[in-house]
Parts: sequence; structure tokens; C-alpha cells
Amino acid sequence: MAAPQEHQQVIQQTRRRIGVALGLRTGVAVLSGWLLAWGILVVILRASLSTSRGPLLWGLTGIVVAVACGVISGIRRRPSLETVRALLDHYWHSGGLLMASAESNPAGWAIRIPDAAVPRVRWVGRRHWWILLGCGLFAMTSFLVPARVVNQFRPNRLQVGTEVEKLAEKIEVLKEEKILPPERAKSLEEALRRLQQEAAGNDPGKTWEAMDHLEQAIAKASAEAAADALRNAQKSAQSEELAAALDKAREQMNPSDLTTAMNQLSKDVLKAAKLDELLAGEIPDELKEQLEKGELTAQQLAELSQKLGECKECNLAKARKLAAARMIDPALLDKLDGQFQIDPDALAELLAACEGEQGIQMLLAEGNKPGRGGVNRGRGDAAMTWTGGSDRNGMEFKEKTLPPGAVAALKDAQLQGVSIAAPTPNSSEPSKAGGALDPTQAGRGSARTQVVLPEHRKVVQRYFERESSSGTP
Amino acid sequence: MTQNLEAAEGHSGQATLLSPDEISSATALIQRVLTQLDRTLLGRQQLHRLVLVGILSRGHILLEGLPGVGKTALIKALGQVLHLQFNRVQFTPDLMPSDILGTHILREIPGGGREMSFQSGPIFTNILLADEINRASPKTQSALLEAMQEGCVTLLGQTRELPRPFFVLASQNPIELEGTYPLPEAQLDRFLFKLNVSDVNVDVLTEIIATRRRGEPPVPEAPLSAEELQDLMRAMEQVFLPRPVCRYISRLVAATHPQSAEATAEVNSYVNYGASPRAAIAMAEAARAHALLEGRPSVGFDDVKAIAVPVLNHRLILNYKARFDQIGTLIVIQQLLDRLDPAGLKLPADLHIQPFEVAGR
Repeated sequence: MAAPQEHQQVIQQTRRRIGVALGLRTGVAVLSGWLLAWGILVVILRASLSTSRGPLLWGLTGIVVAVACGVISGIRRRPSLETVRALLDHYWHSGGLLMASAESNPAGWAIRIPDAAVPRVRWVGRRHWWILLGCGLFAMTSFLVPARVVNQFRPNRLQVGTEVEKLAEKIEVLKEEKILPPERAKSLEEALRRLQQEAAGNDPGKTWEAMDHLEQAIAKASAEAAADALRNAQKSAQSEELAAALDKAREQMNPSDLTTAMNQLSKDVLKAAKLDELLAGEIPDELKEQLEKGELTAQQLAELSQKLGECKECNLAKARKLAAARMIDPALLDKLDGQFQIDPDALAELLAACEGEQGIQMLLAEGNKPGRGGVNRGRGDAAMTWTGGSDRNGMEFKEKTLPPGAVAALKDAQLQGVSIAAPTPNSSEPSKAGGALDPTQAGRGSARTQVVLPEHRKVVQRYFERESSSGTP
Repeated sequence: MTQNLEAAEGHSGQATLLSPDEISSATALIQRVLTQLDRTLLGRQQLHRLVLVGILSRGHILLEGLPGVGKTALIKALGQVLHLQFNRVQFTPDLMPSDILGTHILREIPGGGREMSFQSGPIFTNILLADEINRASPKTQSALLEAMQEGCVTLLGQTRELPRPFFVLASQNPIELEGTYPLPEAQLDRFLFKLNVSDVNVDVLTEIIATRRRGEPPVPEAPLSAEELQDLMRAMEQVFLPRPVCRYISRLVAATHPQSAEATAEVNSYVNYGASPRAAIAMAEAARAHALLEGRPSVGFDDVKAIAVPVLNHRLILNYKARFDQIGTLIVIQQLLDRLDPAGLKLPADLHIQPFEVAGR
């Protein structure tokens, strides 16, 4: 036999009340948490991404979630009927009769169970309500606070990503080409990374100054590397040309001249190898030994020529890579392009024609290129170059007061015509060049018309000891 | 009532509670016993109730108190009121197990033969008063173990049943501990209750002196017959123990163990070992008896609370920290009873249920 109906109803109602209270408690807690999280999210999004208020209102759906959480929690956490019955039995001091009535036949004891009254379930959640209110106000404030106030807290970042990326690429190129030592490259990369992190819009000058400094360091290293590469390439090209020319002309040259030329080649190559690590590594020890002796065979000469060519190409490739990375001016490569082209036939012809140790030394010491002007600066067949042409813009004639005699001469002058071209001298009449002796031609002119220059005036005055007149001597 | 025992389960398979009439007759018997005991020992009503609860639960009781407070008189009166055989053994250090259990003696039989015959000891009785049990050696104390648990005695491979019912009511003196052997925990656990017999107040003492020459208590009148005692025991069997109360008892016992889920701070701080499952069983039986004393056919949470202290107080083993802080088992158990929610609702602290006043029909 079940418990009386009214007891069962009371138990059900009590259970429901407890479930509602638990659900309300959970719902308030979840809602508080959501409002806090939502408010923080709103502030962050408005401050960092300048998000408008409209899309952020979707956060209101969290209220539905909180209510759902409350309902689910209330249903799941509400106590079982048996537990509620035990609770009421305890509160009503029924001595286990209410509990026993559910599990056994109460027989005549049912009437001894106290009157059913639904207990009052009270949640003392003042603290929770205050927290909810606080979180709600925070969320509301995060919405209502003006954008200009929010933006004050926005981190003012300086967008230097593109520049940093470019510099990083350049450092990478320098690292790949082993232009920079690894430690130096690492320190530059670290400096770049720190620069990007600390780039603040409030003080852009500092960032840009640091970036300029980095760029200058990179540019300097690039320029030095490019200069080295081009110089090495040029040296390699010269030596390659000489080696190839010697290979061609060795039959026509007498042995002493050949030895002299070989020594010069050895000197050039070893000198270049000291400056160019690549070249030093490329030349085998055996070849180097023979080179130092100046006793290269035709095959060795060909091999040396090939190695020199490879070194030249490597150096040129490095320079081209730097140019491709905009680290040096590509025009510089175009300008020097002709200098890396070798013409061993012409040099071989010269070597074959040249006789005597001194001649060979002069030929090779000056190199196979024209001189740079001057009697002691190489060959004389250098082409003349004109640089630095004058610019007429802004140029003016200097005004000069003509002496009275010249003015008088101008009065007698006759206008022959106006032309933009240079005047054609009239051969029939002698030219009237100015000067003190101009009027004193044989048979004509007079001292009266003699021109006394202003700087001579005082001398003339002292000579004649007379007072200067009003302007006319 | 005997017929009702068979009808303990109804047609639907559900247990049927004792009817109000059955409870009334049982309560009348109980009241008769209590009245007799209260008349014999003045001012010990609560102690008498607990002793009767122990007897109805078929448990053994350890009485602790100073000499002369009426321990022996109580047990003697109980034997008389319940009309049960009563033996008293004064435990001393030289007491041997055979002095309690009995021994085999060689005797001549008619016809010239000899045989070993068993001379039963004082344990073969209904109520055994083991006076100052802590003065006997552990060997002798242990001789009581089987008898207390199984209700039988095994000697020379032969097991002999003890008379039913069998109760051991032991007493021990909390002072003069020199030369005593404290009861081991295993033996303590076999006692249902440990009751403290305290001093009586001045009024009671005055009444004793004024009404009794040489302190001799009056002879109990109208003792219970064996059949009435059997009826009382049968009624005890029918007292219903609801499942939530079972759970409460289990939680209570589990909470006496340190670091358990519902252990209080006091338990965690001061208890070394908690109560055993035997304590839970004892608590359930004692709660049934208490409910019967209260005139109810089912056990409530208040019944459990009423008997929790005497059931648990000798089963909790406290640590040295408790001794330093002067914390006793009584405080630990009381804190546990105060803080453990009987219904096990596990509601948050800020959720309160306020029952309305109820009026009985």
C-alpha cells in the first residue's frame, strides 16, 4: 500500500520546489558567469577590433543558455522521492512512519503520520544576486561605454610587418650566401623580432630609426659583399682570360716569355685566391703547386681556366642574387657586364706578338684592358669618356659695365642681323677686338680714344697729375 | 502476536508493520520492566532504558563506572525482572579460562570405569556479570570471545550451546588501572554498548538513604515470564527499518573513518580508526529496540541518534592528538550527529528547507 495521496502530493511538491530552487541557483550562477565573460569579450572586441555593437548583441542568447542550464540542473539535481520522504519524515518527527509507509503496509499507523504540509524551500542567495547584478552592470557598461573611451585602451601598434618581412628576407639572403656570420645574422634577426614586438604607434620615430639602422647595416654588408663578389669575379675573369690566352698562345711564344707569362698568371691567381675563399677552395693542391712553379701543362691550364670560370660564375651568381633581392643596384651588374666577358684570342695574339720579358710584364701588369688616362696608367688606346655635362638651367650672364670707349664704339656699330647661331666673322673688315691698343692701329685711331681701364685710372691720374673730371679721363 | 509473526509480510509482498495493538502490548511489557528497574535503582532511568535496549537487541553491554554506583545491583535486578538465570564472576588476574567456561574432570562411573565429564562454568547462564573484566588476563578475556559472538563454548573439540538468551554484562573500573589489562579492540567491538554509570545526584542519594536500610534494593515484583520475554523479542523482530534509515546508519559509520567522504574535521583530526561494520549492525538493532521502547513500529532517524553514542563511543580509536587536546569520543560522535544530514539531501549550504508546524491527527 502506498502512502496516502496527500502525503505523496506533498512529497512531489517538495521535490519540485527543491528542484526549482536548485535550478534557479544554477541558472543565476551560469548567467552571472556568462554576463561577465560576455562583458569582457565585448570590451576586448570593441577595443581591439573596433567591432560594432550590433553583432555583439548575439551574446544575449547566453541568457537562454543560462535558463536551459538552470532547468537541466534543477531536473538532474533534484532529490529522489525516497530522499524527500526521508527528509519530511525527519522534519515531521514521524519516527520513520512516513518512510515505512512507502516500503511496507502501514496498517493502522497511517493516521499517526502528521498532517502534510509542504515545507518552504528558501534560497538565501543574496550574494549570488549581487554578483549577478554586478555582472549585468558590467556587461551593460561594456556596451554603453563610448568608442573613444574604449579606444584609449587599444594598443596603438605600428604596422611594420611588411618592412620587417623585407628585412628578414634580406637577412635570410645574407645568411644563405654566408655573407653574414651566423651569430651576426642571429643577432640581427633577434633585433628585428624585438623591433616588431615593440613597434608602438605612439612613438613611430623610434621604430623607424631602429629599422633604418638595421637596413643600413644590411645594406652595408650587402654592398661590401657585392663589391667583393664583383671584384673577385673580375679577377677570376682576368685570370681566366690570361690562362685561356696562354693555352692558345703557348706554341707561338718562346719559352722565356711563356715562363714570364706563367709566373704572372701564378701571381695573379694566387693573389686572387687570397682574397677569394671560393677560389682558394676550388683550386686543387696539385694544380696550385704547379701554378706556383709556373709549369702548367696545357691540360692544367684548361683545368685552371675552367675553375676560374666557375668561381667567376659563382661570384656573379651571388651578386645577381643580391641584386634580385634589391640589396644592390641591378644597374651595377649591367654596367659591369662587359668586364666579365673574356676574349682570350685577342690577348693570345698580343702575347704571341709581344717579345721580351719586359714587354710581357708590361702587357700583363697593365692588364688587357685600356688604361685610365695619364702616361703611367695603362695602355693609351683608352676611349675618351665624357662625364658631368654642364646644365644650362639657372645659368645667367654676368653683367659687366662696359668702359666708355667701348660704349662709344657700340654707338658706331651697325646691326648686321639677329641670329641664334654664332656670328660669322666678316673677313673683309678687321675685327675690332677690345683692349687698350685696339684703336691704335697703324694709320688710324688716336690716343683720345685710348681706353683706360678703371683699375689703371689712378695710375694715369698720378702720371698726368691732374684732377679727375666728371667721368672722362 | 505469534500469528502475526507469520503474517509479517502482506499479500502484496510488502512487510506489514506491527499493529498499534501489538505495539501497545509490547510497550506495556517494556514499561513493566522499566518500572521495576527504576524502582530498584533510583535515578537511573536513562541507563535502564539503554540497558533494556541492549537486552532487546541481544547485545552485550560494558558498564563503566566507579565502584559502588550500582552496576552489580542493576544487573542483578535485570536478571530478576526478566526472570533469567544470573551468574556473577569477579575477574582477577589469576582467573583462568576454565574458571569461566568450565572444565573436564575425570570421575569414576558406576561399573568401575572412568570418564571425562564436563563441569560447566559460570558462563552457562542467561546473564553473566563479568565484574571488573579488565582485571583478568588477556587469555581469560579472550575466552569470552566465542561465547559472546557465537553463543557457544568449545572445549576439547566439543561445542556446547549456551542458554538462550545469553548476555554478558561486564563492568570495568576506570580508576585503579595498575595491574589491569585493557580490553583489546576486538573484544570491545563485541559489546553492543559501553555505558557510563555515573554518580547519582544529591536528591537521589538522599532518597536511597532514606528509604533503604543498608542500601538493599526492594525485590522486583511481577517479573516477566519466559513467554512474555519471547513475545517481546518477536516484536523486536518485526520493527521495520526503512531504507533511508539504513543508509543513514551506513553513512554515520562510514563517516567515523578519517578521510571518508562525509567525515567531519574532528574525525579527520582525532580518529585513528573508525567503527567496524559490526557497529552498523549493532546500531540498526539498537535503533529497532529504541523504536519499540518509543512505541513505534518503525525506526526513525531520532532512534539512531539516541543510541549512536553508546554504540560508537568504545569503537572509535582516537589518536594522541585527541588526548593532548582533551577531546573524547563523545565530542567526536556528537559533532558527527550534528553535522550529518539524516536524509542525505546534500543541498548547498545556502538552500534551506523550513518545515511548517505540523499537528497530529
